[in-house]
Amino acid sequence: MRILLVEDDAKTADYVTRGFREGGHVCDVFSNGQDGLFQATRETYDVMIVDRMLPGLDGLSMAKALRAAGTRTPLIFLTSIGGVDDRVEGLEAGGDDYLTKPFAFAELAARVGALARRPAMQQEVTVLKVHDLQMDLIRRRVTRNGQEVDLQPKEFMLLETLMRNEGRVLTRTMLLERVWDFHFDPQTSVVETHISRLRAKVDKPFETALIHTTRSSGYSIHAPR
Amino acid sequence: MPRVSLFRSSGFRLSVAFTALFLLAAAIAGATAYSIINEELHKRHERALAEQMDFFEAAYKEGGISDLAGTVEAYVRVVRDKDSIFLLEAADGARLAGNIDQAPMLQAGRQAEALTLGIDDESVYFIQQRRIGPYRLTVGASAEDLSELDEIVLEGALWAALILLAIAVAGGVALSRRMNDRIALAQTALERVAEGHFEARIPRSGNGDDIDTLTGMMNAAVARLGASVESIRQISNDISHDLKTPLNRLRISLEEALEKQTAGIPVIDELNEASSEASRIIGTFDALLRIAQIESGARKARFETVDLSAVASDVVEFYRAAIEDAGMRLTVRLGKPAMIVGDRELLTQLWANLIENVLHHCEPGTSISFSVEKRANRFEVVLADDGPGIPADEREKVLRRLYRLDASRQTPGSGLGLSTVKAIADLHEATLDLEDNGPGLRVRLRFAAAA
Repeated sequence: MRILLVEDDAKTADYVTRGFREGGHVCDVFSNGQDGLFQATRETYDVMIVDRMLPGLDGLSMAKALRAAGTRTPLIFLTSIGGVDDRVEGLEAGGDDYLTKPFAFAELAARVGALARRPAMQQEVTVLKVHDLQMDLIRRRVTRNGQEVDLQPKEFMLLETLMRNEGRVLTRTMLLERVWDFHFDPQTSVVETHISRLRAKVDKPFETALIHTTRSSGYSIHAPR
Repeated sequence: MPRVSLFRSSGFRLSVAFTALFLLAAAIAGATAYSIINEELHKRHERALAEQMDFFEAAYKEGGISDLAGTVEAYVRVVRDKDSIFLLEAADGARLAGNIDQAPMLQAGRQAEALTLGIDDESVYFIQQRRIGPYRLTVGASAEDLSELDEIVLEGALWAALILLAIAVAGGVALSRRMNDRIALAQTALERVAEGHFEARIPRSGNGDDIDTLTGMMNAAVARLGASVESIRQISNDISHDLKTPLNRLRISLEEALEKQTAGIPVIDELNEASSEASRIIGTFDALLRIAQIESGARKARFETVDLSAVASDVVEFYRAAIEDAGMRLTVRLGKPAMIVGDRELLTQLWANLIENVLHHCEPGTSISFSVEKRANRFEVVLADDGPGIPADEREKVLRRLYRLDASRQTPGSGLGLSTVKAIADLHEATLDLEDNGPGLRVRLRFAAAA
């Protein structure tokens, strides 16, 4: 994956690039908005990571300029903590996701991974399949190994979100945002509770587990390896 | 701060301006009245003289010149001084009878100076002349009463003006003294506010006039300002006191790691501890800033119509599994859609914080009830549990930032859940009451229904 990072804090930039490069990705770094904008229009990237507060040209203006110029590359904003309105402003400026600083690299990596896959997801899909688990999006039916699995609406949505991102790690916060539209961090482990209820229906009665917990509190669904 | 001098005070200026206006009005009214009376007097004199003239003419027609002269002489004898004047002249101008010696020929004039009539006086007369046969008769009446009228009107007007002026000045002084006193009270209070005493209030007269209303508004503004300053002061205190402890713990973990590292012992435990401590600090900091942002009110710009019941139902469904797993029972009573104007995201957080509060502080077996009901123009949301509750004298305090009951020091949580709830309720102008559920805690929120 080719990633463009526009971040003026050297330490954060180093932390992020190191992470992506270790994962085998290409990550270009620019420390001010003007250079970032120039680079983004000159080369093609899979994902852009842009800090809100930048010297030269701030992240919001940079995103607006890029969108005005017709660049559709997925863009994720990094925002400082406490900014209640940052998400809405960021999305309005043409951002696709946002992440609050300070963040764990795993969270950023998961979001970048999900964003990069987006175009493929937009194709019309009516049936999702993972190993022997099948989800019919039109009939709202889930079967595993031919056996019907009865799910509550939110459980269905949770499973659908996981299945659409097969093999990708979705963090707790990402699930909260995508399944429940919650944009704050609950103090209790409610997401874990929902996942374990889902597991009880999808995995427990069967031999192999499909839903996996990854370190740094993320979840993914994939066939046994 | 300089005090305003008497003559520069708005009360005094206002009363002076009003007096000037009143005097002008009085002068116009007086002049109108004067001219009407003057006109009327003129007409009366004219009519009286014409009647006299008719009478003389009748005497001439009846008894000739001797009767006319006799009548004139008779009149002259009756008249005191020169209130009325008479002169009967022959065609050649010879004086036949009367009490004056000469009378000029008057064309259209109705008044004549006394001097032109040979009277050594400065008065003015109304004159009528008529030819009776070959004779010329001049009859006149003193216009003394007219000049008397002038005098009376002038004098009256002068006195009235003087009295008005005196009342206005006295009233102005009294009024401006009173206003100055009230302004001085406001100045004293505002000086105290400027010195940082936000508890200072301007004493109110309570009579509900404009100044009283303004005073009330100023007091409210000062109170609000005071609350903001207090909140800023509080947050700095919170940060310095309550973040110091975890920061210190973080440093201890790191120092231990350093020591172990030099001794060649693995430091993974200390680093994990440091990492989670840092996360807690960030969480607390984040929550504090969020509260400050909510309190700033900027979020109101994004308010829209929201269904309280729907938001509550989403949150309850989200937590239902966790509540059941915690061995608690949940009863939910949601009525029809409860439309209010607000922020869906913040309201979601509000319900979540309240439910998490119960999850954190109550034991398995606790019953929780959640309801949304319409009462008059308000929606009442009640979340009640039969857990340990909050002692009456602590209920106000738990809404403060980072305040934690001694009993809950060991349970997880930042001590910011309820203060966030309070901030969100305040932003929505909802009332928040913590009540005794006997046993347990009952949280009651009242929201105004959307119009």
